[in-house]
Amino acid sequence: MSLWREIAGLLRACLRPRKALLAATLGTVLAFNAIELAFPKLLQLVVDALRGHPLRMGAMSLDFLATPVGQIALLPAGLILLAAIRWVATYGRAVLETRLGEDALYDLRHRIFATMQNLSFAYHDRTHSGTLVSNVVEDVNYASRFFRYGLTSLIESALYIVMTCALMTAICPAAGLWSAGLLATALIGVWAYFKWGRHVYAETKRRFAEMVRFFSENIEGHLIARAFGAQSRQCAAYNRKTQAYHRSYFRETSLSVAMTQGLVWAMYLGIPAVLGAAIHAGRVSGMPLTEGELFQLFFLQSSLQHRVRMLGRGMNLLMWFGITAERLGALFREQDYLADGGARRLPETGPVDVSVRDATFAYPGGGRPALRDVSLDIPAGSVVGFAGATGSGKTTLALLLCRFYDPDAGRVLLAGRDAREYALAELRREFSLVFQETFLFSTSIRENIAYGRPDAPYEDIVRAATLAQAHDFIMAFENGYATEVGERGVTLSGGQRQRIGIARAILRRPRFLVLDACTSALDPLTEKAIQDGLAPLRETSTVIVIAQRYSSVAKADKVFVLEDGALVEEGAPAELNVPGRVFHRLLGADPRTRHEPTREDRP
Amino acid sequence: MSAQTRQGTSETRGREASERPLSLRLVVRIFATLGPYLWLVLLGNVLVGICVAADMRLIYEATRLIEAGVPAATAAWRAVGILAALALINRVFGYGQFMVTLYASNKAVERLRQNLFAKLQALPKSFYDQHKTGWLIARGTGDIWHIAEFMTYTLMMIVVFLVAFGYAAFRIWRISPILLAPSLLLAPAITVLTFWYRRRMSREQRFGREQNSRLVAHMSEHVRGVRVVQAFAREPRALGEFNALNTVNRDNEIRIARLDALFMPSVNFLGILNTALVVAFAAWLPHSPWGERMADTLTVGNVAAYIMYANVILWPMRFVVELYSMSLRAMAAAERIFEILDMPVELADPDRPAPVDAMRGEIEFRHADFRYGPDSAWIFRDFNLHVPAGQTLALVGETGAGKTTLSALAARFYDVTGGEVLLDGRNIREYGLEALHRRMAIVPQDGFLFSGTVLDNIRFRRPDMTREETIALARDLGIHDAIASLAQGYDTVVLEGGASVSEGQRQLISIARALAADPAVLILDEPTSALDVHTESLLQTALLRLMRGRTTLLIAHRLSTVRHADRIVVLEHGRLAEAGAHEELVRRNGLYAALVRQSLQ
Repeated sequence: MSLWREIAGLLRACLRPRKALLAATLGTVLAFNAIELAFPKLLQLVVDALRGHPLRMGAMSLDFLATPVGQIALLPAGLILLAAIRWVATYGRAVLETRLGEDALYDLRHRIFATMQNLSFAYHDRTHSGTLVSNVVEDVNYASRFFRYGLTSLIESALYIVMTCALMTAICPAAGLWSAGLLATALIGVWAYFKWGRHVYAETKRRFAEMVRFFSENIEGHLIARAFGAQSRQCAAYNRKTQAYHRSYFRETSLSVAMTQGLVWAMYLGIPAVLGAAIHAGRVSGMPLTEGELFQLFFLQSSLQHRVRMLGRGMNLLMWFGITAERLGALFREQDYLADGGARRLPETGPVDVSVRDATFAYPGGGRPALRDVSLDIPAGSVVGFAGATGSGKTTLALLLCRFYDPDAGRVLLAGRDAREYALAELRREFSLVFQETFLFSTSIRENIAYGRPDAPYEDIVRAATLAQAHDFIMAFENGYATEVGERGVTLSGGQRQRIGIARAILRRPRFLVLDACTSALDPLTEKAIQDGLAPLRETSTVIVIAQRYSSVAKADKVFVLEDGALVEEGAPAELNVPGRVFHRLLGADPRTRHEPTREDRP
Repeated sequence: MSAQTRQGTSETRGREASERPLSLRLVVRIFATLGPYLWLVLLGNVLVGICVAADMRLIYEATRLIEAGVPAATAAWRAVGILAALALINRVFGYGQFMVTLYASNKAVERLRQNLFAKLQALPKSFYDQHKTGWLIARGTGDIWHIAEFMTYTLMMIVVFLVAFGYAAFRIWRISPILLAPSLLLAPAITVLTFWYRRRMSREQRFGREQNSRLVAHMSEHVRGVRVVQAFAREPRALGEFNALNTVNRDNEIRIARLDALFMPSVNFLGILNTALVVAFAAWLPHSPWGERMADTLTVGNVAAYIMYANVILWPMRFVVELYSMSLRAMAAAERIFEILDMPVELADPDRPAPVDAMRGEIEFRHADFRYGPDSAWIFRDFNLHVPAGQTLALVGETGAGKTTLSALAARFYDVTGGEVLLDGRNIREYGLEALHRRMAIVPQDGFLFSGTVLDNIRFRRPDMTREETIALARDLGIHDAIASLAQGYDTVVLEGGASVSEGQRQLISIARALAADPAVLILDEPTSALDVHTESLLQTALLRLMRGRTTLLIAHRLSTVRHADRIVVLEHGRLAEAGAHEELVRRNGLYAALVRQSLQ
């Protein structure tokens, strides 16, 4: 889609719900411009009165203003009155136009956020999260700038320029046409700017991002560059990047300067053109313009200077907004949503049994399938393990079971029914996940644990934290559960984060729980304690453990072993842990498990 | 400067002083950074002066033309010709100034960026110990922008104002000195008004920026954590929180805009008041007792000229305050940047560095003392240790025992405070620093990689390596299959925060990178992070292969690698508590044996 269609589409979406406000804003801008144009008219009367010319406005005679009282009191009072009216009009206009812009912006931000939140895992998988974050932040910024400074200045300046040219034409057609003609010529610059500017601009942006990334990366990794004696080389590489960016920046700015300058040139050359045309026309027709009218023309033409610069800046913002609109348009057209199947509900209580039938799944754009023809049964209330090397598909399989993806072929059955038949919100409520890497929000530890159940009482939170072996280290913080996490608070170790992630998951009393390598950063003792803590859960849930070492699945009822997306082995852990088995090759050689009792009383 | 830089400013500049008083020293220094481009900037100012002067003259000529009314044909064309010439001069010089200034400042900023980067590369590790990454990054983005703005915009605006103000005042003076009075009275009034308004506004805007960064932070956090949001079905609540911030943001912006709408027209109003007074005065003059004598003073042309020039005098007043605060911001930024640029590079290279090519890698600490600063506690006192070339030495001990410091001293990231460190029997200070480091390599704990392909990361130290050589090297390490299984194999792009390469794979790649450097001395900060058993055993094999034949300092967090070391040194509070091979130390039943028992539990 073209830039203009994207801009128009996004603007329509933002402004359509507020047609009345838009109309009112346009009305006040129009009124404001009319007031602005009345000043030079008053000044014309002042000048002509001094010269003793007859005063008129259209057909109406204003000769009473030429009397001493008119000159000394009325005209100056008129100026002051007009200024007062302008003051009021400016305020009214500002109120309306900021309301319009800010409301539109509010909606846009809301829409961006909601879209991001609802797009499925599949979308977020193929989108690099760092890039996504910086794009979104940038889009919101550019949209803000456009709605705050671009939209209204474009409307105001364009309207003002048209109105001024029309007024000048009314006073003296030749003068008005000269002014308008020169400005129209300068529009070629605007056209060129939109044609080439966006590419240059996109390049500048890219080079800037590259330069900044290189800079910050070399601060973070300064030790590496140093330890490898690569500083001179890194400096040279950075110099090349700054050079490329600054060259591109120079081109971009030259282009946008040329665009605005074209307009300013047209306005300046318009001064002699307008005055020359007015004098010439008067001479030819034998009806010369008065001094006041000449002054009015001069004043009007000069007042364009401010507006053409405003127009140029507005065009700048419009183009940036256009690039944002393109990206947002693509985002809003994104189709990666999971269809919310229907109203089917899970059985009232108790764990759920889960089966997979011939499921094949490939990540969008990811090439070979991550899962191939997988079939398995997980009885309600059992604890099963998934094992496999990195990239074998165990996490994918678990996410498929929770319906974060739909299989490309085959089915996932929950309590005997296709997962797609259930209300999505219901599944999300009853299923809990502990992710491989625990993401915590920058709020208190308490709020983080209660993330899935914000109304949970304090005792429940403490109980969940205790089961997850997190209570003790939390209490060791000065503020206990109120301790803030993240930049403004404490930095938690990987193991501490994992334990909070576990507490967060079990606090919801899920009926289906997935633990994705969630004890990897814990020492064996803590891991064992957590396993014991989770034991009572099987009364109410089905548990899946994605294992990276033997100890995490030692007590599972059954283990499924994946290799390259296919299910290759299944059985009790002890059965599988014999030489020659894939399972044994993957997990059995763990040196840490040698000291673990492998044959223990099963609970 | 482009928009991205602006955005970087508001986000990265923390709660630091954003303004500093004007200082001549800093101003001179800022202009000195222009280097060879200083003359271009000054030329730009001359050009802008001519441009503004032409503009002022144009007003004068236009009002003369109006005064003459409809003059004779030749006179009229002559007057229009003069106007056209002035308009052309104004634009040619205006445009010229813009391009000259843009060119010069662009080049100067480029230089400043490069100098800052080079300096940051040269500064010792101790500098990085004291400064946070985020703080340093902000120096390279926001601060540089403020300085650039000052170099170009501030000086130029001062010239513009002086020329415009001077010429306009001169013209009004020529009409009648008394007419200067209202403008000169109003000018300070407008300045004071603006100053008051600015203060009020900057408070509001600071609040607005804070609110905006909260909104942005909330948004980016929820994009990064979107999986958790969805898994825990928090979308509606998250949207509610977001919209609360969204509302605050909107309402605050509306309040600021209204404040603005009250103020700006009030300045304009004062301007019109000024005009109205003069208009009344001009009308009254003929009726006054001096009517006869003043007939020539307030003619049509003069009134028109006065109206135009009074605007010129009053117009810059509101920018004066803006320029002032812009300068204060630049002072703060300059102070921080120059502080970095002026920092001494503690580890200087000798005049005639010793050759490094045949380095064997024998390391010796002789009576070494070390502490991080004159006020810090001693880490090492009279420390002695000899590592023969090619030996693998494991450093074991509790956190804070000095393991990392010891390896940093061996790599000369710091200089010892007392005593000496010898490399191949020479004081380590006799080598050129960068050349020395080219014979070393480090495998960091976090497997830090630079953005780029896996291939480029492996040949980081030797960019001229061919693809085949790189692959052969990976095969040699036994990690070829692991890399080939990545989405795009060796061409997989490693990005910060990207999921394309797992933590374990990062570590494998960083080991390959070290091997490609073919170092004489190797520093291994052993990875402790979570790895699946398969990757971990790959890692072990690759590490052992890498260490073969090189002097290796292995900072051990787990004991599984340590047992392969030729010698194990147990550090305790900067003291060498025990040293020996694994079996020997286990038999001795000391600290090391206790650690081993602990790890097996």
